[in-house]
Amino acid sequence: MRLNSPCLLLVAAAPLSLMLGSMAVADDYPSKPITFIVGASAGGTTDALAREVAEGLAQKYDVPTVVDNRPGAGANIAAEAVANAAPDGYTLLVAYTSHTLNASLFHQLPYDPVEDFSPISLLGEVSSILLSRPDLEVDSLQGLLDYATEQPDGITFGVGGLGSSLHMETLKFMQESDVLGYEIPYNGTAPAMADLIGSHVDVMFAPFAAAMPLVESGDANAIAVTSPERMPNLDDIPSINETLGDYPTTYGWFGLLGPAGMDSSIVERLNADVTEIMQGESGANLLEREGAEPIDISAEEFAAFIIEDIERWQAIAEAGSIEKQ
Amino acid sequence: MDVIANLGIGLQAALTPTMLWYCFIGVLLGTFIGVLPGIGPLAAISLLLPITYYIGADVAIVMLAGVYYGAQYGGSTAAILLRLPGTASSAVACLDGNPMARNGRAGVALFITTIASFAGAITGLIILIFFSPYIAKLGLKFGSAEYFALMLLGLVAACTFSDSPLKGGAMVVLGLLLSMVGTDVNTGVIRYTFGFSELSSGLSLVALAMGIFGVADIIRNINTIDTSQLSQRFTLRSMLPNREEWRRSLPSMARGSAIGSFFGTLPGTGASISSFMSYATEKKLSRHPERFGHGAIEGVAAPEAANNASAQTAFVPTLTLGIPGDITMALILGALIIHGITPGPQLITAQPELFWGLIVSFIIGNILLVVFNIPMIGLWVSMLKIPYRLLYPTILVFISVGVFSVSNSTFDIYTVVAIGVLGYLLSTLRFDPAPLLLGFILGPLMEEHFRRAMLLSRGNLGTFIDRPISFSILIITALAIGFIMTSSVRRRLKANKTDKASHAN
Repeated sequence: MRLNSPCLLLVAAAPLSLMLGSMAVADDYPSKPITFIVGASAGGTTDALAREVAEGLAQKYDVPTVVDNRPGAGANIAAEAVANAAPDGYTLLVAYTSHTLNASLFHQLPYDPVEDFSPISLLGEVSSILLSRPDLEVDSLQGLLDYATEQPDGITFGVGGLGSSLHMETLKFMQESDVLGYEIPYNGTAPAMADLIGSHVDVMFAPFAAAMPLVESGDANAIAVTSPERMPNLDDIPSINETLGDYPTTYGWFGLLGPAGMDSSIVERLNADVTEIMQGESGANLLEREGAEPIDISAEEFAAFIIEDIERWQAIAEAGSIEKQ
Repeated sequence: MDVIANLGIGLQAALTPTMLWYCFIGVLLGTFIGVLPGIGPLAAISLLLPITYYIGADVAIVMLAGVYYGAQYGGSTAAILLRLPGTASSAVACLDGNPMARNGRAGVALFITTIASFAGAITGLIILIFFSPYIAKLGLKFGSAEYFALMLLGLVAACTFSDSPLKGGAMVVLGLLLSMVGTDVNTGVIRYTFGFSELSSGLSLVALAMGIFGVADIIRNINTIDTSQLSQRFTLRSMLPNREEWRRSLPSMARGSAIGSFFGTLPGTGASISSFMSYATEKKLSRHPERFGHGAIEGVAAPEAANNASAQTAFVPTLTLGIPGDITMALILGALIIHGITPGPQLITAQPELFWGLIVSFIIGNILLVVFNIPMIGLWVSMLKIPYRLLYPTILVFISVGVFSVSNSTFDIYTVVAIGVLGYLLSTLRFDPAPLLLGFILGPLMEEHFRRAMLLSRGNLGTFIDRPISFSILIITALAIGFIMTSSVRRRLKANKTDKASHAN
């Protein structure tokens, strides 16, 4: 386009000058320490990802970064803190699936998971693995379904934490496969795994990182992965799709968000830099270890993802008649 | 022999200067954290975890593990001297340790706890070294039905803590009721919180223990205590147990070590239950159960050995299966996972220098702990020389800091005050706090396992009898109830007889 009229130039310059104004803010950023609030305790996957991002950005930006663990109330405490923080890019939330799932579990949240946040970057998505107890003699998902129909009382599913993404996975699996199953709730994944390898429950959906050592040692059997295709590094374990047709995979996810109203140039800059960190050697290793897939999407796509994900959980929770608290 | 070769690998790994240094740091930190009431290994390890990103996996876990078992040593110090238990297991140390301190035997009580801690830890380690693969599998045989039966036995044992089983039973029930506050594991329903969101994860155990023992004791002491009685001179000799005390405590330590080693391997039960169980066992086996609660040295030695033994064997499910028994263990595992090492059944074969290095560091750490703790006894005991009017405000500050540090919540400080007042009322009515605490600890576990056992058996109560381990434990429980009832009836008859005899005269 050629600008040959002074009038047109003026029209074009107006938004430009606005942009320059915000560029100045973005140029300044970051000039002080950045805090990453994590709604999970130190040592878990969310925490490990938060530290990877925090460390990477500290090196890139040459400012100190702080990881602030505020577990409790299904990560609501951490989300609320960030929702109420100044949208200057110095207080960020490392969120996980609970961010989109909690709306289906609680009558009232102290924040709005969509309106109160500026989504920045999706760090990774995880699917899970269906395990069976070591002495259950089935070697395929079809075998498991057949076994379940033979049992007058159905089979038992260990559930590592009510309202977790693995709990939702269990509900959805029962809906999709029409298997008669009983949910056996546990206070976390670890005690559920202990009861699975002790043969007290029949099957459970488990996170990869914790499940694989037990599968390799034969203490638990791997039945299927919930991703639509086989995992590249575990290609001897079939995908759930191979037996159940179009199984609608729901992923657990980890992402970086800021308070609503963040400057879009800061959001874009963070999105690009965080993506680079997660694709770097140590970021990629971390994701692979946790069985997570790296995702390269823009901040807008992440925002759309969050809205869709909230609806997805809503549908599963309603079909599984979860009572809100 | 395999074990010797393995220990050789471990020695090579553990005897490097870095490993020794971090082991030293870990146990030193553990000692201090243990002594400060309320500030437990959980808080310390979550603070230290970020540091482990910058050091190697082997030294990180050696240091964090050192904090974990090191805190068990000091844990009973404040409980014995000031009746301030920071954890459930040190609440047991209050029962006879505190009366010992009041009788001027504080030094002996602390000395015996150090020796018992060491004995327990070494027993736990021997089991860890020789039998880890087998006991890990044995622990898995325990399903919810077995856990429920075990908890029931624990509750019956708790009733015997009190001189009157009826009063003890009443306190157990009160403890069970208090434990119902919070979110139900099975349905997510929030119970008895009266709109306080702070209560949605239940009453704080630390607030309950500190309130019902520590604060209640301060209220009672303020007007009555005569501190001049407590000042005494401390020589090494006054710290050493006499021959009679050695004779009584050595077998108790052995029994405590055995009980603790067993409970430690069951994921999720842990140190607190083992120390309560071993205390109940000692009281049951003693020919003079009436001495318990008034400074019986067995009541200090056995539980102390038990909780240290279980702190060591708790590493069995954690390391051999990758399944942590409690949150603190989960954090320690987190340190390994951060470094890309996935704990699990292959850990021992895939990373022998890490596993055996850690085991050898446990041995070194425990020796260091004895070396740290013995000279400290004199220092701790001299605290009792501080006039009570100066001491109790300090204690209250420590209680507040300790309670607050658990989850950074001011609400817990109000809880400790309320519980303290309740504790004072109960103690004036001669109700013992220990059964309440045990009811509070066992309540949620018992409910969880009962309901899970019911779910797994599709509502068939027969599951508790059909399963051999659960059935055996239930029989032991029934025998224990019978024994308690007959001995209490017999005592009453005897009392009646002497009563009548005195009337006749």
